[in-house]
Amino acid sequence: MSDRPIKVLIAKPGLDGHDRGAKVLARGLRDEGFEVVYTGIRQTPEMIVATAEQEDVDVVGLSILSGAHLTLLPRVTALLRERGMGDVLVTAGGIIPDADIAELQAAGVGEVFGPGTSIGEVAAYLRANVPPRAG
Amino acid sequence: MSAPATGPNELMAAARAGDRRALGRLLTQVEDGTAPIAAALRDMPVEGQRAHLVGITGPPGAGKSSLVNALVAAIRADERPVAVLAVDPSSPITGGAILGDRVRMQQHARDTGVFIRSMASRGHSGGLAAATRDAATVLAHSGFDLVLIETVGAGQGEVAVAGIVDTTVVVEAPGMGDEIQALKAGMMELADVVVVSKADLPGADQAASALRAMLTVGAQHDRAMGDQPRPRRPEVLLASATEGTGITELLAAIDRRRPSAGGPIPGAGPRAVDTDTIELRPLTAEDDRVLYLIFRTALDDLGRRQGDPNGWPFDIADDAEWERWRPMFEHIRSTADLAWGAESDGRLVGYARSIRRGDDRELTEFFVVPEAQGRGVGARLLERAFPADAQHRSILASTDATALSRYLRLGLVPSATVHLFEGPPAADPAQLPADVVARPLADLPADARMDALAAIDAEILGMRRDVDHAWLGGQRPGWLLERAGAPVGYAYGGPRQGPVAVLDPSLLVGAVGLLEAEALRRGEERIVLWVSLAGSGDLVRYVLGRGYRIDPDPLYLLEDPPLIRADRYLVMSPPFHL
Repeated sequence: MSDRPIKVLIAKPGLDGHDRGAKVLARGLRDEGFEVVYTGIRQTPEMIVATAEQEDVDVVGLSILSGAHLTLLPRVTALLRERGMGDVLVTAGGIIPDADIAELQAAGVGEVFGPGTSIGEVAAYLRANVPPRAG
Repeated sequence: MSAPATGPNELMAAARAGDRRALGRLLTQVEDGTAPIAAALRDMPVEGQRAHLVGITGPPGAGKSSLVNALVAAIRADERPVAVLAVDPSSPITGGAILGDRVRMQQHARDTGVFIRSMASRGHSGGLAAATRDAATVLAHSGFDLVLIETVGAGQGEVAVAGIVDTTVVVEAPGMGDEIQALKAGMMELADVVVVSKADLPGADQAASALRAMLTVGAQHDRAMGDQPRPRRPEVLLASATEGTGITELLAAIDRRRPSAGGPIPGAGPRAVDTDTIELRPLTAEDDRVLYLIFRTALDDLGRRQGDPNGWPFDIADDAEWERWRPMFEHIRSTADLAWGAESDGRLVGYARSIRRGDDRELTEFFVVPEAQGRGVGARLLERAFPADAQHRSILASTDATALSRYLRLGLVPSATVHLFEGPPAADPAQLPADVVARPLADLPADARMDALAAIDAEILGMRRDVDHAWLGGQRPGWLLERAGAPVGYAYGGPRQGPVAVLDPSLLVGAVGLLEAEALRRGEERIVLWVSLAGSGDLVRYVLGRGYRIDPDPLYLLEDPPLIRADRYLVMSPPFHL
């Protein structure tokens, strides 16, 4: 099943309404051949996980600039595990201090992409790290 | 975390049971078109209880997603579960896609009664992903009341969605199409409902008027065409998703077009059956559930043809109902002598089985799905599964005229007309004569029991059927009737009544009284008896005198040559007389 496009959910948890970065990433990943589900701003972790479940995505990409990442992101990974989706790759981007990255990764978040990351780097990371599908 | 099921059949069962994770994974398999899912889809029933499939199409920017969002809210106001399948274009160059329809549907993101799935068109034209039809089929059988399929903004001519839904809604925005546009054939001809969206904007009324005028011209044209085939004429409505006007009316117009329960899925089924490609093959244990579905589908169709507008509907997802039938299907399978299925394009469309008991061959089942009927499939199945190689042949048949005429042409003749009587067991059931003793079959040693039962069967039915008695004995309570130490009859009770056989026809009423008493003890509210009208006058008067209802649709016991003494025998519930 290596031919199937990788399906990515780009979501913005929390209250900040700045979605320019998320939209640029969604567009860029589409141009890299990904199928990108975009849901808009102000998503709760529960909404994000329900969407991931219905869309059966390979990756959940969380864009967050509000500073609430240490609360919201571990909640998303915990809910995913709870719903049997622990194999879904979770990545984060936005404004996240380097000091918090270790804690996020301990909670199950994969790579954290800071400002200045190119679309190509994200795409390469996802292609290398999305687990293959069983069925 | 439990190990998730990954096989399509397991996922389908879980999805039907409401597992959204399973449904999500199943739809991915459908999108990827994996071999196992293709096989599972082929075996999916073509009829049965399912959702109303509604296509929402129209040009880009017409407001489809906003309208779908408003419709979902209206459907949820009635607390009906709804699924949305939103198809977006894939980039023809990179194969990537942005699936953004959910942005307008976020208010439903946490409502467990709403399931939204985006699909990329993956290079398919016509506003539909190649897998959309299969995804719609899966969603239709996953417990939703409505499935809304929103297609890629399509132009005229890109109308493929109409072929796979029950109801097609075309969305037009004011100012986007003038009268000339409307006159073009294409989407409009396939629409059941045309919605002028954004009714709050200026020009909406004019757009609706132009569309209605176009349809009037069409109606005049129709009359001029006389009896020639003509396009349907859609209803034209105005709606505004932002103001919430016209949404209730739109939903009502959609609901009015709901297909009758158990109707086939357009496009997915009935799939055209090409009789040239039909191949017969022996059945296996893997086919049980599919055979059950063919059986129920054919019965539902028979109900319709017998004048019951609702047919005899069933829920294919009702596993409990299947579990009730399953022991019988397993018994028939394991005892069948000949079992053949007719396959078209890898999908079973009919089957026939017969059992051999000594000199008798009984046709236990013979069913062909409606869309494959009348094309010689049945004749080929009967040739294989019901050959004239036995001294005695028998069938317990419904009143279906096509099947009956087949059996009559084979030389079988009706030896009894059997009607179903059902009613509450009376508090004072009839008694057996004082010199007749009813002994529980379970109390008898196996050999003696079989010999006694076989002796009675030889007299009443002219055959021995140890395998059936062995199976019945494991399923149901039964009694051997003895007079002066000699077997004179038997009767099986339990959740269903019969078979009953008595050497002396005057014992039939008392044997039924025995089953009534047993049903009373078990707290059953009703019992069901299949009684031959001819020759069983005492029993018929007995049950009618106690307020039993007689079902108008009889079964015929057909035989060649006539042997069975139906005045001393009550058949078990169909499909076979056992």
